[in-house]
Amino acid sequence: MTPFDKLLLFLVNTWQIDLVIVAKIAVVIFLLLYIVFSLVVVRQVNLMSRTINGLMEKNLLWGARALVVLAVAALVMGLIVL
Amino acid sequence: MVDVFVADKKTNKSAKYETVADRLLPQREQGRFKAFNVLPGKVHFETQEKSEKVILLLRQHWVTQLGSVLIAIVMLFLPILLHFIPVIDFLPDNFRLMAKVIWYLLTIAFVYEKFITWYFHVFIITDERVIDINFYNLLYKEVSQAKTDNIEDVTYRQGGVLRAMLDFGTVSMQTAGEQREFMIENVPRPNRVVKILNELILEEEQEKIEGRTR
Repeated sequence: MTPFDKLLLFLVNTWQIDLVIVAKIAVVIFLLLYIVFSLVVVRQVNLMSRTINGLMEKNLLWGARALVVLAVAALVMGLIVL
Repeated sequence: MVDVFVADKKTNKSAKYETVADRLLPQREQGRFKAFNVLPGKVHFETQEKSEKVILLLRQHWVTQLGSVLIAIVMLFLPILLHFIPVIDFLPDNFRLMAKVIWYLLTIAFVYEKFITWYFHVFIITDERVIDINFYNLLYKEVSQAKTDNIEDVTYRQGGVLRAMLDFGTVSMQTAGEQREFMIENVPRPNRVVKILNELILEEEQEKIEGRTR
């Protein structure tokens, strides 16, 4: 038994923690952070486009917005699936 | 009183000298993903003056991004390996699915971040100055510039087999300004960049001598 297994057993037996719930919360927190990340990307692409334009910033901005949609969709999926 | 000599105002006004931009016009080249753009017409930047022309828009050579491309490819195909190596088999089906979704989200974030960082890290050479716009990551932006008339010495380095084969290298400039050395790293055709920069420096000196202003 590895130290990690021992820790898990300790948590489950001593503190009566349901590991499935912990895992679900961890996934949801990750997906929420991903949404924050995608919003930062949109803001940053906006900033980059203001700094230099005439390239393909419109397409990149749409890409960044698609990332937000993807992040929200993943969160919804996570809430449904888990 | 009769005028002995009257200067021809028309000729003075229409007196047009050939600039570096005019000379480069037949060699114009631009493309969305190109790392070497000559006279990219549509490109504008934050601090550009009205009369300032963008002569060169440079990015790092695509080969410098090869490491990121390889990592992205590995990341893309890694979940397929999970069919053969049962690493996450102990997880219930729904968690396994979410693990794959999260993995692909990370892959997309990695690819997108690397791409926009490369795409917006540009070196702009105008008829007045050299500007380096760098976004180190999503949160850090650095814009440095050197005026052409402050540039004292321009050299380029092109070491290694890959650089010689694919013709890219680092252009460095010694400036009289606060920032003593200015570097344009891993750009394609550094010899041509140096040639154009020298022409621009000469043009700037000529303008000073003739008292021309833009």
